[in-house]
Amino acid sequence: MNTEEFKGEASLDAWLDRHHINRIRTLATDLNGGALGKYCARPKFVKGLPIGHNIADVALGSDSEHTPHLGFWHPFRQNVIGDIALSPDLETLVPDGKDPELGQVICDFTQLDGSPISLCPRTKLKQQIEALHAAGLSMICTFELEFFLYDNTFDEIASSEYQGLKPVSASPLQTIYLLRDSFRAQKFMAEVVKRLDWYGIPWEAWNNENGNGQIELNLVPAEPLTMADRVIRAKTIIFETAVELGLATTFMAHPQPGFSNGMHIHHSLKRQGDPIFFDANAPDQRSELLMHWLAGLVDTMPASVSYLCPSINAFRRLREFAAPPVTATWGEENKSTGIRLICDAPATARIEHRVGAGDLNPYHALAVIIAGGLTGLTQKASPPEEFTDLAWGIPESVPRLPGDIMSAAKALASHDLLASQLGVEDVTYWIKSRRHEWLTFHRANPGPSSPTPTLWEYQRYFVIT
Amino acid sequence: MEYHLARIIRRNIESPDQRLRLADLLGTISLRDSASLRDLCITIDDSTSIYIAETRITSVPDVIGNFDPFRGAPPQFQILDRWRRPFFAKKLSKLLRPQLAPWKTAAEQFLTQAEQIDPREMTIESYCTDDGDVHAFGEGPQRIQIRGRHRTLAHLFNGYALLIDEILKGRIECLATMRNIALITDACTDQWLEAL
Repeated sequence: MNTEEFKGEASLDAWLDRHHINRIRTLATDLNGGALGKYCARPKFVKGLPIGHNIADVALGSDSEHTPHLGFWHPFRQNVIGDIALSPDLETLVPDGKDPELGQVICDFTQLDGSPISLCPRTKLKQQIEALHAAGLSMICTFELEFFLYDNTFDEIASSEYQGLKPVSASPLQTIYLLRDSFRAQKFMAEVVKRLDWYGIPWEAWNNENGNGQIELNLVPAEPLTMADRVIRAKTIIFETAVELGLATTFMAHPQPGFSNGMHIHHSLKRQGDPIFFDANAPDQRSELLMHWLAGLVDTMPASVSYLCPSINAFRRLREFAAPPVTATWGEENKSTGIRLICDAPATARIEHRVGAGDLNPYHALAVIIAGGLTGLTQKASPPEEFTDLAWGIPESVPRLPGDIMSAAKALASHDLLASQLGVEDVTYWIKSRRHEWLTFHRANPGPSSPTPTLWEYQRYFVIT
Repeated sequence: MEYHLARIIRRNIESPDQRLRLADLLGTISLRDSASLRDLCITIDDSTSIYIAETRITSVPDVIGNFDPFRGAPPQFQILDRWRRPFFAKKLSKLLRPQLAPWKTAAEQFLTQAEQIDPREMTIESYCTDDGDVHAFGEGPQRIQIRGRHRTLAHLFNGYALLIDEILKGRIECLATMRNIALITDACTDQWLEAL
């Protein structure tokens, strides 16, 4: 039993008592960004500390429909299929708020002795944060969460094979920022932000986005691990609120023709607490460190697509003039390039990485961005020339980002520096898991050339992402 | 399916035994996969290259068959009326039908080339249940036993099946740890995807 001070209380037990918590829900994120965990009785949860409770090792070695990866291997797994652990990070323990007896905690996958498993997405992000700190730097970041809201239940949608989706929207038009369309979602979003507040997840704003029934939610920036935890919790809250109100939501990257969910990631770096992207004395006020970091991000962008667009469906999003970027380019205030740089003032100078799809795993996404930036710093690299035109419909001499899950995996496999920064063994396993996804898709033969999402994609990604 | 066909065609064209000249074939071949009901068009550009593209066949296809790359066996197909002339039909058949090495030859080649399989770590014994023939590879302490019929072993080691699939379908019995089954299956997948 933990008898030490815990979040202002004399002990963990005292804290649980004060919040009347009798059950704790553990949550960890698998390779595909799915939230896994258990509802634990309080005595069981407390007894298992500090290592946590057991879970089958294939929980971290499964595909997006939780079929175990039986056709390739990672050393973290047991030879004859066994258990690993979900180890709670007690710093993340919060009362649920809605369920008065429930607590929520975020966990890492570890071995049964508590030793870390580097393949665990949250552990992977921690490794990259450590590398960043070792370089004397820290990061502040945030995500733009885009999702679709439908006036159907999940059951109705599944039984109609994902046809007849009814977007929650006042008009049938593809509007953006239109308050009348936002108002149709207001009741839902009021519940969402109330729960965000209960969880201590500060948010900045939400609005209706360009797709019919699409909403964008912006969170207040935080350091990377906290932010990734908040994204996973916010997605869970959005799903659960929809279920409670008889609605449905999806973060699926491309749920309907013409419109997609992205997950743009804004970030900036600090040294000893001071922002360091802006330099009043540098050309265009862009610091030398910013340019090295940017160079790393651009150079690793094709390779990082595999993590930023992890699913078969995510690649339907990367189309010319469809809003997401299609080239490894960067530009100041340019929303058509892979990276939009905003370098207007010391406190707000930042990078918006625009490649990420709505179904990305936030731990992986931040890990690959930090790893990419660090390769640029290590090499003191210079970025390619700034792209000042619209980065769509341009000559083929400007290389495109990988356009499918296998091309993205190959791009990752060919970038030794990024793989080395992320851990070759884990990157290799990830690549094999993407190959598995591709094979599973083709094995199901849902019509690989279909111009619209297939039933296979809806069944696999609509709910789980 | 396209990748599967591309691999078979590429191997057949590159094989010195086949003596296949593209100029001996008609310029366009239409093909229907009976498993997926998808149609493909194979276009032969003089004697230099072959293109495969998904298409929609409006008339009778030239070839109908099961080209499903995941069925654990090479394609089975039938050449239809348009290819009445035996010369063309024979050449087309040679183009689409994969050559299978004898299973022990294929096993030796497969296991030697698979980077996942360390002969100092594993000993892999493959048994043919039709005739009791045995192939052994490696001298490591981890023993793996693969048992199957002649045809199944030929398909597996020639790159037309994945070990875990064959086990799950009951066509192969295997004594091994999960790790070693996964590693051999991974090598099968590498071999299967080699043409990509």
